[in-house]
Amino acid sequence: MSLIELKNVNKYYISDDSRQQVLKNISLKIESGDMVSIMGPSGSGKTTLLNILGLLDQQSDGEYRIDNVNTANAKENDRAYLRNEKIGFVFQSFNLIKELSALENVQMSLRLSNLHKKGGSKLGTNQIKLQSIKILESLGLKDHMSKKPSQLSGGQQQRVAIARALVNNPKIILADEPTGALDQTTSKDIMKILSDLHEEGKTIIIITHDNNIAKYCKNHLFLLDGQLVGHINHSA
Amino acid sequence: MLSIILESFKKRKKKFSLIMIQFIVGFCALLFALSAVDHLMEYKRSVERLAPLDSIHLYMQTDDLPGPSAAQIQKYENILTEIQEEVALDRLGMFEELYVREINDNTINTKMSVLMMNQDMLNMFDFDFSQGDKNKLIDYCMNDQTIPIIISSSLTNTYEMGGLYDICFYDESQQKYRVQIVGVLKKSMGIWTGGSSMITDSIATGKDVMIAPVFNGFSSDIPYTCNMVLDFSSTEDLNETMEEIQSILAKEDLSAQYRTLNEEIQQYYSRQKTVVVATIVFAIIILLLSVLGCIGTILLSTLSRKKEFGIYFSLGCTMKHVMALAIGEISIIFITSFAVATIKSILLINFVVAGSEFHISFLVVGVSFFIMAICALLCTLVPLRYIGKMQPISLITERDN
Repeated sequence: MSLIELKNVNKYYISDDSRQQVLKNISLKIESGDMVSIMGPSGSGKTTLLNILGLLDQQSDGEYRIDNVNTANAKENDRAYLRNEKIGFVFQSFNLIKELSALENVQMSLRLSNLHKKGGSKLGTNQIKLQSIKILESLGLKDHMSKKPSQLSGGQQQRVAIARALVNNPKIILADEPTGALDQTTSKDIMKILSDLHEEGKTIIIITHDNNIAKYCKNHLFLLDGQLVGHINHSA
Repeated sequence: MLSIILESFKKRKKKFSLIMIQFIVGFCALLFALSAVDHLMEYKRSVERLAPLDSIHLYMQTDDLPGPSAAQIQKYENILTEIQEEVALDRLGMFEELYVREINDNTINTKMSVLMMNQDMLNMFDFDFSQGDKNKLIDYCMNDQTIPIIISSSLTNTYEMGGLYDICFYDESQQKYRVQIVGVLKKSMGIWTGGSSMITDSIATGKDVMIAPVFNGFSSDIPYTCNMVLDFSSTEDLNETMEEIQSILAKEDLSAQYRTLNEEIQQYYSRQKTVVVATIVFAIIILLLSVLGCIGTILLSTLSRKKEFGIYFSLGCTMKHVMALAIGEISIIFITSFAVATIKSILLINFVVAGSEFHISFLVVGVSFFIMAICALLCTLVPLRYIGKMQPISLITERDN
């Protein structure tokens, strides 16, 4: 059973008098432990596909299963739970909360996971803190935990974002142009971290238009005008 | 969720502090304005307890020299007897304020005020008791050994209900009177302390005072000239009756001025009206400005936090959670501002106008809390409408503000 499975997924945006189809009949399968790049030119529908995969947006029609859960009819609360539990996001602009420190940003993910838990299964404050410190230390941010995002470099902010994505131990990491705002050296460091996570068994999906980034992945999906036009599997 | 709301509020407390200051001023103004109205109503209740509203507060003008003689008092007694015979007077309430001290192990205790009321005054006066009643005062006869006494609540620290004490007048005389406490008035109960001015000008609350039946006869002309309330409940034409009274007084070269209690209350109201209305208008303006300011600031804050809400969404929040966060923050602003305003107002009244009868009652705090809840609701509706309309996907792609 595939970890991610899309069948005939379409996405339309309807404005006053027109309907724009941004994804056309997408069907794909991503297995657990894969590292996949989604590539394509601007406007090809990459980000829309990632948003649907990350349950931030919903397909207009078609079927999307994540870890064998059909998301089409899932309630808002269930979708939120799946986002929190199964998926970690890494964005191009890091998307850290500027008022919170690095540690607090990472802790937020665990604190929000408590919203979906009941009674004794909720994580305690100390447990949240220890777990967050551990993940930040593993990403080399031991000395930067109390700093606000504005006090960190781009690479450090992206590491914090990765730490936040990982702290819940999700099966899937969705990265939207994760190195888009970083210099080459830092980009390599970030990609090394993502590769290491893949080695540890995480499923990594990266949206990029940069071939140097895509080469870290074994599977490549190509989108053009909302259609899946190619699929290369180097591991095969 | 609560811990997330508190954390979020803590991180933005500087941003919110300006709104909170606005609201603290607004709520203080509101508490003062409502207290002024409450004070006025309490005053009215105190006056209404004195006697029926259509009874007359009458005070005589005399050219007699001060320092009454037995002859003068007899003259007034005769006049009153004639009035009672000539006109349909239902009740004639009178009292005299005397000063006494307690005799205790030969030590001289503090001077205390005793209002010595006649039977009609005791009957007319609707005392508000926390303990006991006035029955023993009404049944009292001058020959009784023990004088029943009612005390104000401020004296409960010194005197016990049912306790027997010896008092004497605060002059050279050493005659002892044995008194027994048979009733304690409620703290809010106002007492008319007498005088020729309007009753509404001489109502006191929180004063150390004892109320006794007439146990020694009136010793001055004050009860006859000033501290008098006449009840003409069964009189059909009050003006005609008052003309008759004036003609009786004129025979003794006296004239009298009179007003009904209701007229005195109305006059008091009209004098207080400007201050109370100004305070209420001021409070409403401040509150409205605060509410508008709050709506604007919270809306701005909501719009500038679109991306943050998007991040929460991507981390596993629903839009309902985001709304709860916004409502929670607004609630903290209001509840904190209200609590601070209430404490500040109470402290201000206790320290600045200490000893005055002005106070903030539970009722005033309750009504203010209700108004606060409406303000909070108004401030919540507009931002919530915006959040409700937000598309989660547009939030996460929002640019940083």
